[in-house]
Amino acid sequence: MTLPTVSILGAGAITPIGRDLPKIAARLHAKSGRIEADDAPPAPSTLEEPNSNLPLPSGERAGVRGETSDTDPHISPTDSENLPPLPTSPLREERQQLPVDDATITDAVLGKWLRRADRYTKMAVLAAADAWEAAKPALADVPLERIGLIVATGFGPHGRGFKFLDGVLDCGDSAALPTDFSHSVHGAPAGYITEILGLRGPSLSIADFVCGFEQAVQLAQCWLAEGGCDRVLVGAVEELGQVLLHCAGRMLNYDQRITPSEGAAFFMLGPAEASGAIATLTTAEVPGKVDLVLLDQPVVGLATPHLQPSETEVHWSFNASFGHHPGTAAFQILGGLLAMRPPIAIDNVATFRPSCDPAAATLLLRKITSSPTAGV
Amino acid sequence: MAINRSTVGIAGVGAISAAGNGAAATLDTFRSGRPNPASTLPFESSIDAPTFQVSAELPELAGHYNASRSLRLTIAALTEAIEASGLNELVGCTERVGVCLGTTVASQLNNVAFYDAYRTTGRPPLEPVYDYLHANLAHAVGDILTLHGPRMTVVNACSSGADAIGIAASWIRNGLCDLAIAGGADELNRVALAGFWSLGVMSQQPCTPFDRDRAGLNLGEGAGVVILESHAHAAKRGAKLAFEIAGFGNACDAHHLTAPHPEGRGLDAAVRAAMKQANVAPEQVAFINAHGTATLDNDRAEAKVFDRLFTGGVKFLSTKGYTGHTLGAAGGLEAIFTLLGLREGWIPASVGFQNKPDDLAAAPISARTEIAGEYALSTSLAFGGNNAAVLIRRLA
Repeated sequence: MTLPTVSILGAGAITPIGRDLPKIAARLHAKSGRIEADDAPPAPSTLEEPNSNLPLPSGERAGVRGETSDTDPHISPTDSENLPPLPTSPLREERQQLPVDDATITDAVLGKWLRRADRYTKMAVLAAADAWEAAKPALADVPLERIGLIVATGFGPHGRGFKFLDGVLDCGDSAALPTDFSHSVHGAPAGYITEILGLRGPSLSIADFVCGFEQAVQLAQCWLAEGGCDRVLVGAVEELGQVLLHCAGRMLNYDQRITPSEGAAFFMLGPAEASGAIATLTTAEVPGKVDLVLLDQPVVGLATPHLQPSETEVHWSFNASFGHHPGTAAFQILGGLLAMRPPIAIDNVATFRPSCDPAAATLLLRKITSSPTAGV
Repeated sequence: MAINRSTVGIAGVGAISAAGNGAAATLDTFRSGRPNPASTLPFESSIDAPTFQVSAELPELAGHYNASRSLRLTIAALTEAIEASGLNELVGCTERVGVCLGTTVASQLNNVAFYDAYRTTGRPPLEPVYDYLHANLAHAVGDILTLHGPRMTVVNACSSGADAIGIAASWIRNGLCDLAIAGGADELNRVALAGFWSLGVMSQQPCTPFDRDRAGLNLGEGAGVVILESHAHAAKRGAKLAFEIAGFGNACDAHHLTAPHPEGRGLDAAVRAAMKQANVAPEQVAFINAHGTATLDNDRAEAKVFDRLFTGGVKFLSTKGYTGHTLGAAGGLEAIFTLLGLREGWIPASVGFQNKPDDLAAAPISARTEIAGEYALSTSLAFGGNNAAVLIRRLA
């Protein structure tokens, strides 16, 4: 079953390389998205370089190997023995990361709304507000009751959640702070976004460690196809936090080229025929020809024969600019959208997440040739 | 664009809560009108408040990490739903079967012992993290049953279970699958207890929804799971479905992070959307299983909406007095209670309600009440201003 294609009417993002999309595009194009500090370790991925010959084993298991004491207790020794040995790294527990700069998540206009919000909610709200602003011309005649919202996350606002636990441990169960609790639930950003933008259509938050953004796009396609909404604001948000970084440092292996990161990316979606569309987006099982395949490097293997590569196809990744987290697909789509601008100016992009449900494993982005990409 | 009015059948239901393990036991509790809140907590906490706990033995899930209590509650309810549906071949089947489940607790690493160890030792045991990473409810259920099809875990706070049912129905209408497991589950948890206590919305007595002296909610735990099926698929296997999801609505207040809109703006829109999808008039709705948490704001907003939309009056009740507030499970459980009311032809007393307060525009039923009709509603309200309405129809 193929759902109807939808259109992207605007995008907004908070990323480790900034908030301003034209500047992000320039940095991606100039291959300057790497971590720039002189003393930083080499970026663990092949960022901005053709990605056609990665030597790592494929499969989700790649993310759960480590020293004996910290390995997943549910993976049998036999399983582990089947994996090739990993080189050791002094950086194992000093994992390189790609945080969003604090200055990126300040906003003079929205700041008063966000004074109680944490960085997780702030990133989501600012990215969603930017997507809203970018799509504004295409929203003029759309009632707020007809605009839906879907926010995908993997870990949710864990930083605020652990802050609430600090309150529980330090002050007792009955004396922890209510604002920490109300902001620790996964739906907090959606509450802020709907209140600030005045959205009164369906509002949904979903949690998935692998393909929440793909699921969100697929559901937006359903909502638009059924006529329940005229527009759907869809996005992904994730934050870095010390506790999970500590865990990642012990559970993952630096040499597997995973760079934990954070950020938020939102897209205003509408029907394929909506005016003001800058690109079309669809979930697919058999997408056909594409120019660019965007991959997550930890799930390598490049098993993408179904993508029917065209002569000019390139396997690529924006992970070293945007890093890795459960919402990575949203950032790959963002990168693809920006790559449609000159001078790269490609027309067809696919992201591929093999561990997703096949019907949603591939996101296909196609440029609308008449569009000046003004909404990006 | 025209709204798609095609309906989705309900092949089976399963419910587990403090009101009972299974539909039959739940109905016995409803019939008795005597809930059984626990006076002691299943974990250490300085908070003194009644809770509604599941006393039944839950299935062990060997080999699936340390399965969360929420997952075990889900499997208990799902087992009943599969048996009721006659779809025993569901497990491992090659058809596309969706899984859409709502939760709150199961989506968070709310492990106080783990975090305490992190703070004090700097090197906590990682087993709770591995367990958490494999606790995503929809994926865990899909993996256990080796199902192929769309999966989604909804974390829309207290409307999660209802939203999951609406999403799964949408998947079926759009051809993503012919069968879907949907609903919600949540376990009692120390962090959620501390959180709701911190908000000042918990009662230290058994809750009394819609009552003049209502003083807040009690927490509960449970799971409510429905198996949805396209009518075409049911016809193909020769099954005669007795109920269907006739309509679903979800709308946002755009008002406040934790408080409902005082006029119930989003709930009003959600109920209207559900009835519009089914082309049903207010007078066709036999009763409403309200969210009815017993907080001042929730009950006031809900009563206003019922009074405004159902001008001829409508019978409504809250079942929170039997189950407590089961958070992500509530929408799933209460959709099932709504179906049971239609099936049985009666609904239980809205336990805890005695006196209509001046601030409520409408009052729930105070005794077991006979009902007649094809349609009934279940409403859910949540943090973030989410509102959901599930409209269920009796077909036979």
